[in-house]
Amino acid sequence: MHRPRNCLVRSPVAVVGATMTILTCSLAASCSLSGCSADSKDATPPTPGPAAAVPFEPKPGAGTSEAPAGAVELGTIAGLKPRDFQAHIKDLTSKTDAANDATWDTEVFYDATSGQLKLLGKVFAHPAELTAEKVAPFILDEFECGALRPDCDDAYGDGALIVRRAGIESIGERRRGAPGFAAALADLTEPYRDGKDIRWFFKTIRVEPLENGRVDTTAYFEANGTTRQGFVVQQNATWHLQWQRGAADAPPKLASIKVERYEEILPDKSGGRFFVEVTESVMGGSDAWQRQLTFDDNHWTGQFEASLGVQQANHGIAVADVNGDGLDDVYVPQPPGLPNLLFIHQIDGTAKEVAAEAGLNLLDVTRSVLLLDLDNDGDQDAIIAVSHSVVVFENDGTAKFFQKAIIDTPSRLSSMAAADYDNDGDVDVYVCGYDPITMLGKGDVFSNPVPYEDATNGAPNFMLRNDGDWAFNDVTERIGLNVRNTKFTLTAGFEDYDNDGDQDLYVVNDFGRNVLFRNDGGTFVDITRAAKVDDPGSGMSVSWGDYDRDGRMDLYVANMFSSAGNRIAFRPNFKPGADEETVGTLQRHARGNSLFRSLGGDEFDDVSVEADVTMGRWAWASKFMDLNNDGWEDIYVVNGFYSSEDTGDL
Amino acid sequence: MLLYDRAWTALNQMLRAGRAFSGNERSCAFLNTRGGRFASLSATWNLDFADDGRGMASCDWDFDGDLDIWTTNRTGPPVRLMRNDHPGRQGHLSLLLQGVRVNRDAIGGRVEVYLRDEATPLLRTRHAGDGFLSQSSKWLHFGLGDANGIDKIVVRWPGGEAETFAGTNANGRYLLVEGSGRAKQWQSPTIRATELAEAPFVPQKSTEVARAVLLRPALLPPIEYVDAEGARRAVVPRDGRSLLVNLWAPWCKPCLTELAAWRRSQAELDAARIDVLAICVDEPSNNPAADAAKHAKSAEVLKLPFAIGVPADDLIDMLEVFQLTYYVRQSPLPIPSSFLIDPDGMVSAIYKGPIEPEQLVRDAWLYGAGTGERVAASIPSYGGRWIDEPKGMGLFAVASKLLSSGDLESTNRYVRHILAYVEPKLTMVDQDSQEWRDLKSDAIKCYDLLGRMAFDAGKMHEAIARFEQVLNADPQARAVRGEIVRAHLALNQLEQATRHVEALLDARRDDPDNLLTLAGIRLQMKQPAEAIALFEEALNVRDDVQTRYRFAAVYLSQSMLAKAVEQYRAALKIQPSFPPAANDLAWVLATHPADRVRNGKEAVALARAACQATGEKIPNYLNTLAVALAENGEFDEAIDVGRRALVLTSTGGNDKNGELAELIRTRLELFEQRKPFRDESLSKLQ
Repeated sequence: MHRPRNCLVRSPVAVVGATMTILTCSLAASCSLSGCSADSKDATPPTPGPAAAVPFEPKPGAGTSEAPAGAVELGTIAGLKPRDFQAHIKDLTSKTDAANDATWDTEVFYDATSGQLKLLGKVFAHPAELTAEKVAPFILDEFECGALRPDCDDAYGDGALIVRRAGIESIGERRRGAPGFAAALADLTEPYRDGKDIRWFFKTIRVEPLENGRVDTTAYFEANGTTRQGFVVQQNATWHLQWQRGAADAPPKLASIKVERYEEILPDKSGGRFFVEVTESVMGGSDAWQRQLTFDDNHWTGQFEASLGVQQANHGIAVADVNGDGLDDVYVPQPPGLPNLLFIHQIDGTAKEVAAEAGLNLLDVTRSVLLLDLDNDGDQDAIIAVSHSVVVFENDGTAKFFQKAIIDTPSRLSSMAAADYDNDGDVDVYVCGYDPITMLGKGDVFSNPVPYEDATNGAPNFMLRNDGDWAFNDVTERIGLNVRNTKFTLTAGFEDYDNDGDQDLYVVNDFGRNVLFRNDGGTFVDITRAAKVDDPGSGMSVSWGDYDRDGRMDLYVANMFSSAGNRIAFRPNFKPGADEETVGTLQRHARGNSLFRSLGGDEFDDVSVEADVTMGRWAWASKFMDLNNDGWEDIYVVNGFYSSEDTGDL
Repeated sequence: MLLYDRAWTALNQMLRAGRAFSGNERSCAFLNTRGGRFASLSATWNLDFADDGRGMASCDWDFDGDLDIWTTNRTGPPVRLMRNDHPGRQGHLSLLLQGVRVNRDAIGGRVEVYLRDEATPLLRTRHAGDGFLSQSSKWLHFGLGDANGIDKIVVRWPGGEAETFAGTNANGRYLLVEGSGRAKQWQSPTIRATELAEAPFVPQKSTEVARAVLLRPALLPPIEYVDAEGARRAVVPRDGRSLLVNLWAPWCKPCLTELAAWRRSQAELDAARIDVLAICVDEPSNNPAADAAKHAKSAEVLKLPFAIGVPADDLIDMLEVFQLTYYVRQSPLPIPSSFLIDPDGMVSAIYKGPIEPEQLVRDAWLYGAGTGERVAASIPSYGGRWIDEPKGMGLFAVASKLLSSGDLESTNRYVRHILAYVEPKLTMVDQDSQEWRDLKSDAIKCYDLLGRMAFDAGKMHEAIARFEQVLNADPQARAVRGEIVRAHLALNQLEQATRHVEALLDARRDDPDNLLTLAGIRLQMKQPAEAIALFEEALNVRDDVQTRYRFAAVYLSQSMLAKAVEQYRAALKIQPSFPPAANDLAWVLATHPADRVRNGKEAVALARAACQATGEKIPNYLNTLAVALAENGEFDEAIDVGRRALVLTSTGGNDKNGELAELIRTRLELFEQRKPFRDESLSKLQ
């Protein structure tokens, strides 16, 4: 019999350690799978000596507190061997490392297929020169596929563009061998064949080994190319690719491609441009643009002493008319050590930076700010979440701000959302707490949530009731909001989803489940379970909007989509010993964004997959907006966690 | 440290070292194509930036009747405005609410726009804060498509009261004041931002050159160099003077330029009481003394009036760990690099790349300055004020960094070095000062780490002594008591362990983990009744499968089978397919010698559930299933499952599997004779 061990000394390692796998596996997959050791460039010994001598131009200001010069090329030290600060993670990543466990050779195979698709992408990028010879090295002789650009029906048009889609059945004529594949690719590129900037991307979400060295993979496919008229055609599909493993180190070859879902966006008569970047035209006249806003987080993390706390660049933005001239101004929170910026909209569309004059040039790390009328006197006051404190400022109507209150919390703060939850005529503010202020290491990015699937060691959120005269009182407990309140909350959004006249609240948590609070006349009830909107995952953002125009507010929640998580969590050898529910939750963690359609009352329906809005990648902000004025809410999602060199993913 | 914590530490380190993690992801735009579907078109719309996006807000910046988008980003531009130049000619409507009785911004107000010939209205709510970290314009924007006109507008003010507004037309902007019933037209400015030129973002090149003034100076680890005479010398400042430790090489042009600049400013450096120690890190030979002499000679040629040396032992490595601690972004120490050490032997500033003598003089004057002055010196001079000024890192920070590289020996040495500095200081500094509190906090961290290192090395007595030092300094420290308990348990000192667990429980009785730890101790002390009572108490606080399952184990160890079965069932009630409980219960139901206990059918169901939930990968569970099938008379399948279990035992490489394989083989023989298996050991249990 399996004699239960007398395991009374707690052993949490096995329990929580394994749940890291889904996170670490995506990490493992994004670097080489050779055990996730130091970068190869670290391993190369530096080459000192006269040969490495470099041109040197002394620049005034180098190494001073002024903006750095940037032109000095420095030397490397001969005896400096990099220390390995990653020793401790090896036992975790090794769980999905083929070197240690042959059952994870699917990840190695995935790497090989992405290499092949990338090389093939270089052929694809020049459709005019596409020949059978060029594609032949990537496929088996017996390769076959259906139409890669199947017959489509028009699904939508707004005068500028047309969306066309194909049904699953429209496979079209079978193509065989290299000539067939070249022809199918030529068909696919037809809408932009004589254009430029032709690219394709894959996000592989399943790897399924078969017999005889065959492996099925499933990938999201996207191609785009710019037509001569300057229209960017986009093609989206799901591809099932079958591969034949190569002998020894030889790369795999394609045996077949089957297209499951196909959608393309083509120009209508007018074609034309859509969004145009104009930031520098608006802000470029200010000192702050040159000295601060043309550097990104990777610059400041290399410049600042670590305990100033520059990390992760989670800074929001707020738009409001702070000087009462009818033009929206914009407030830009910044990393610690750089002052927050206030740009006043000028009549010509440019903006003038005035944070110092306005009294809002705070140096503290600032995550979020709300500009709104807190005292009902007709101007936009400011409430600013810095580090772990909320600072309240009164506007005198001319964009001069005066500090009125500071509310300290035990939480490292994230988003804020305001509404008059008690309908007493002034707005109250809900403040999201992410992790306890003591948890994060200086300069670090991650706290350590436990348990990963539904962490409860985060920091509390607060409802600050506006009691007039700049008094904001914490009423969280009293009004029923201190429920499931120590999660890693990133954001929250108010909406009267049940149309009963008071403001309900959806709270979005990283590492776990979200919470929907129904407002019942000033006190809140956790209605998440009944409404089925707990959306397990790493919740990032929320937006309410009536996307289907049925008169009810629907809910869009951004999460982190992980292709590696998809590949790994659906393998039969993922987390042996774990129960189905845990595995299911972790699979769900990798799914991506969610759309919950309101059915009225407390009822919501998860329509994410049918609506085709899950793949928002590692999402952060997301928002319903009608961007083409057709009367229907579209969605924009910004994403990406930590970029450095190309990860080769879609 | 728990494995899980260490994993996060390592993840942090990888990101700080510049490793990509779900990076280069292109933003996603989803066009609502009606009928409940969206089309993905961020490339078409020119919104597919690969930067790491963060926040987002919308407004019609250029008053051309469509929504422009502000985003914030980690990479790429920190802030970006995308102007919407959509070529479609669809109508729009922009509304600004103004509350009179309700809040002035009418936040929470809902607007319904009824279009001619359309049954349901367009809805927008005035939110303040949504998406992520961001807030959009207070103007509510409506695209009108090809609507034939607007019938009416209904505003549901916060609180739910509805008011109808008439007199609005497509493509207009209106102010809706609560109680007025009339939409007031709003004139947008005549000069429009549509004229603003397109300007794709061009980032400025970043630089490796950096200067970090430590917000709190930190203790230099004991390091040595070899001087021109071949003597080993400690890197320490002379009486009352600062020491600038510079790393250079003769082939490094910026190094020589820098040293020449310092030579020209030698008088100023000297007046600021700065000594320069120029350590040459050129490729070493086997003879450090000869190297040092050689480099001293070149320095003489260059007329450098500075002390010259070459590194001894781990000098470079320690300086490297030091700089990695104080910069977020991890890049190897370049040359030139310099460390400014104040007259107390504390590192005050770290320079990567060349540093101007004027700046050095200013930085040397920071000696004795308060944190505020140091913070101001550390950041760029762009103005601004702090709400909560940063305090800097404790003396322990570098030790922590060393530890994360797994170099226990260096960590231990450095931690003792810190204590040697901190302990005498604690007796001298005013106990009411921040300095004293900081020092004490450093000391506690050092004691705690030395305790944990002793624990990991199996030196339990030393570990306990160190942990007791933590407790002495901070009687409220809870976590360390847990460590003391573990150490005493490892020494089998049950009485002492009990004392500390009870102290923890006195402070907080409803801690299930401590209750269970005490229960474990009681069991070892042969006090099962107390243990069982503690289990029940723990279950009152936290009723979960793990506790139930462990409770069952306790009952089994007390030969109380019926009670154990009760706990298995309770566990399975919480989580129906919890594999260990399902497996164990299945075993009892399948193999108990007494007919009244056995239930083959249920045993099969439970064992199957345990196997399925674990992907049929655990030989022991398959073994249970085989035995259960046999009990149920399904011998053929029992044999098949038993054989699969046998195969699995041969792949794991686990010694225990050998024993299990033996057992499975004997049982397979039974099944082949169409006989079920009975576990006689169970009959002794109650």
